[in-house]
Amino acid sequence: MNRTLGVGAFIRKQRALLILVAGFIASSFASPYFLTADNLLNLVSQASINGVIALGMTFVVLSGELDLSVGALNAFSGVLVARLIPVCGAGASMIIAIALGALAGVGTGWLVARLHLNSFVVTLCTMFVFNGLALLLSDSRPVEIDNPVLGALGTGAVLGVPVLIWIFAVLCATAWYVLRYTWYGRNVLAVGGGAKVAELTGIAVHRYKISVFVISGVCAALGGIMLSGLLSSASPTVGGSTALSVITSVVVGGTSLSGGEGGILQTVVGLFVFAVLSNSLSLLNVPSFNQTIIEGLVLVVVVGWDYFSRRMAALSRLAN
Amino acid sequence: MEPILRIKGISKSFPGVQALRNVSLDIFPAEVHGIVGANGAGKSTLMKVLSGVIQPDAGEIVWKGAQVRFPTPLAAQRQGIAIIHQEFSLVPTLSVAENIFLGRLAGKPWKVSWRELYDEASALLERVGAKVHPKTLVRQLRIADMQFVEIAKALSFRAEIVIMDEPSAVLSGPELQSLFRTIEHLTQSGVGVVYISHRLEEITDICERISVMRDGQVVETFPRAEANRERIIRGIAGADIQEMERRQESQGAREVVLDVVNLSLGHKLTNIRFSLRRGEILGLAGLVGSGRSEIARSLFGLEKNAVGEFMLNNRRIRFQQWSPRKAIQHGITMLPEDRKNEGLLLSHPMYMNVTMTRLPKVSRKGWMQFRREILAAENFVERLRIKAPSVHARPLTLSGGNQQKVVFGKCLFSEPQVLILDEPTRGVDIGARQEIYHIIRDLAAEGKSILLISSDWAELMPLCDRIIVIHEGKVKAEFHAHEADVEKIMQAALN
Ligand SMILES: Nc1ncnc2c1ncn2[C@@H]1O[C@H](COP(=O)(O)OP(=O)(O)OP(=O)(O)O)[C@@H](O)[C@H]1O
Ligand SMILES: [Mg+2]
Repeated sequence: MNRTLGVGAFIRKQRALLILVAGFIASSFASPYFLTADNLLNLVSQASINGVIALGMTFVVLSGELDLSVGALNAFSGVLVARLIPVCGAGASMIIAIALGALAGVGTGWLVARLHLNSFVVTLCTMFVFNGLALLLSDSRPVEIDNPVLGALGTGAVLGVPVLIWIFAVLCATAWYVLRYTWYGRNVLAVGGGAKVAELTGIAVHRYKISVFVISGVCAALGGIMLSGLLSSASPTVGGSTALSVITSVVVGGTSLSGGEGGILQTVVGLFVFAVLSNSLSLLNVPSFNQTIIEGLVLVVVVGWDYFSRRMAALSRLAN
Repeated sequence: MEPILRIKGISKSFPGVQALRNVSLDIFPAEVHGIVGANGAGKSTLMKVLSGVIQPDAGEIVWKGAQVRFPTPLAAQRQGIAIIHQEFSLVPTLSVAENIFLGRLAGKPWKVSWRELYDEASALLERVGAKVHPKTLVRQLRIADMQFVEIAKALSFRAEIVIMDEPSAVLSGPELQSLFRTIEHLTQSGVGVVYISHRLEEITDICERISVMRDGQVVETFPRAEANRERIIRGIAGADIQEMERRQESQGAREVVLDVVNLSLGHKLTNIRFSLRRGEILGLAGLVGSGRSEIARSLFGLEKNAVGEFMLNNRRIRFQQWSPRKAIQHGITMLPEDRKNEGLLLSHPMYMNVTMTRLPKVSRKGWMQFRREILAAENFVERLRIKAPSVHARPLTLSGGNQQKVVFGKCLFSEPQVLILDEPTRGVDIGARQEIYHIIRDLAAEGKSILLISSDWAELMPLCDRIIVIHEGKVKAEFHAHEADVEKIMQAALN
C-alpha cells in the first residue's frame, strides 16, 4: 500500500492487531497454562462457532447493513436439527437447517433491498420470530442430541485439530478469497461504500444486499449446528448475546459500521481479541460477571484508540 | 492601504504530498483577489488553513496587524473570515434556512424563532439572487442552488473577508451575473473577496489582483492591468498550452443512434424531442433548473417519473421501464453531476473507482487480476494528469479537480457507445481540460455518440457539432456549432 505511511498511521490502522498481540503476551505471562497446545486449541475451537457467524456478519456489515437475527437463527437451527435427527437423520436435518437459514436471508434481504426497510429494524423483527420458533420447537427446554455424526462434528478431530477449527479455517480462507479476488467481493465493497454510486455504475445493488443476508443466514445456521454438536444438546436460549458479540468482533477488528471498509482478516483479529481475553480471564478464575465488565472496558479502549492516537500525534507535532 | 490579512511562510504536508510550501500572500480590504492554479496546486488547502479547517505545519497568519491562530473554523468566523468550500458543507436533511444559520438559529436557546429565521434567510437568498424557498430541504436542491445557499451562508456571518473556492463551477449566464453582483456589493461595503476559479475569463474580468499557484507555492502575484490569458496560463502550467480550436464542419450525416421521441417529467420537462447520431457531440445548454440534467438523468434511467419513449439503435424503449443497469447493459454511461454522492466511492482506493464500471476488463473468469487493474488505473492517472501519490490513494484525499478526473476516467473505462456527460470539466484545470476535450473528440471520431451538458457555454461551442438550448423544460432552439455564439445561446436560454 502506501509506502509513506508513518509508524503512527500504521499503529492506528492495526490497533486491534496490536491489542491482540499485547493481550497474547500478557496472557502467556499471567498463566503458565495459557501457551499449552491444549488450551490454544480449546480457545480457537470455542471461538470458531462465533467466528463462522462473524464471517457472515462481515459481508453484511461491509455492504452497509446489520443482521441482529444471527443469534436467534443460531439457536433455532440447533433446536431444529435436534428435533429433526430422530425423524430424518443427521445429513438431511443439517441440510434443512442450512436451507432455512438461507431462506431467512432471502426474506430479510428482500425486505431491506426491495422495500428499502432498515436492516436494523427488519432483523430485530426476524430475531423475535426465530426466538419464538426456537422456544416453540423445544418446549422452552434444552433438547438432548445423541448422534455420532453431530458428535464428530462438535468434538471430533482430524490430524489432531478439532473439526470445528477446520470448518472455521476453510470458511475463513474462502471468505477472504471471495472478498479479495472475485467480482462478487469487489461489488459488495462498492455497494457498502456507496449504494448510489454502485447503482449508477450498473451494479445490481438489491441482488448484492439479498446475497449478503443469505450468507449471514447460512453461517448462523451452520454455527447453530456446530454449537449443538459441541454441547450434544440444543438450547433455545443460547443465542441471546450472540448477535451483539459478533458485531462487536467485526467492528473491533476495524470494519466500518457505515460499510465498505474492512474485511475478513480484521474480523478474525477482532474475534480473537475477545477470545484471548475471556480465555485468560477464565484461566485466572475471574468470575464471569467481572469478565463482562472487563471486556466492556477493553472495548472502550479499542474504540477510543483512534482518538488517543490522534491526540498523541498532535502532541508530538507540537513538541517538535 | 494596509493588508487586512497577511499570510507568511505557510507550509502544510499530507502523507505523501507537500501541499503548501512557504506560501506568502497579502489580502486587502475591498479587493477581489483571484487565485488560479492547476488541480492539486494547493489552493483549497491554503483556504482551509485560512479558515481554521486545517492547521499549518509552519508559518503564521497576521490578521489586522496581529498574529493569530485559528484552531477551529469557528475561531476564524468570529474574527470575520467566512468561506465557501469547494465541496459543499451543507446538511442535506435540514432546510435551507436552518443550513444558513446552522448553530446560530434565531430566538432563544429554548425557543427557536422560526418566523425570524425564515425571514432573514429569505432576505439573504434574495440578495444573492437565488430562487429557492427557505423551507426546502437541502437534499432536494439542485447543485447550483446549493451553491447559492453556500453563498448566502457565507454572507450571513457579516465577514470582513469572504473566501470563495470555485463558486462558479456550476453556474452560467445570469446566475453567474448574480454571483458577480453579490461580489460587487461585498467589495463596495469594504469586504475583501478571495476568488478561486479555473475559468480565466472570470478571473481577468472581476479580480483586481491575481495570484498564481503552482506545486504548493505562490509563483507570482500581479494586478489586473498586467494580466492576460497567456501569462496566466503560463503561470499555471509552467508552459504554454495549445487551446482547442473550433471544431471543423462535421462529417456527413450518419445514422441516428439515440432518438428521443418524446420525454416528459412532471412539470420539469415537456415533450422533449431530439436525436443523437453516431460520432456526434451534442451539447445541451440552458440555465440552472431548465431541465438539462433531468434529460440526462431520464436517459440513464434515474428519473422514475419520466414518461415517454425513445429509440436506441432502432429499439423502442419506454422511460418507465428504464434503469441505470439496463442503460449500461445497452451501452449508455453517464457521468453524474454530483461527483461526491453519485460518482465516487470516496474512501475506496482510486483504482477500484476506475475499474468498477467494467470488472471483466481486469479479470479472468470472474477472478480479479490486480496487476492489470493497477496498470489500467495508472494509465488514466497519466493521461488525465491526476495528481495523486499513487493509484491506491483514496479520492477523499484528492483535490476537487482531480476527483473529477477520476470520475471521467471511470466513465471512459466502461467504453460506452453513448456517453452522457453532465459537467465533465467541473473544477478541472485548464491543462487537463484540453486533454478531456481531446478525449471527447477522439471518442466521437471512433464513432461514439456524446451528449454533453456544460455550464461553461464557451466550451460547448468549440466542442460540439450541434447545441440544443433548453428553456423551462422545453427544447427552445437548436444551433449548428458554426452558427452558435454565447449571445445567441443566452438569448434562447433566457426566454
Ligand atoms: N486530506 C488530505 N489528505 C491527503 N492529501 C491531501 C488532503 N487534502 C489535500 N491533499 C493533497 O494536497 C494537494 C493540494 O490539494 P488542494 O485541494 O489544495 O488542491 P487545489 O489547488 O484546490 O486543486 P483543485 O483545483 O483541484 O481544487 C493535492 O495533491 C491533494 O491530493
Ligand atoms: Mg480545490
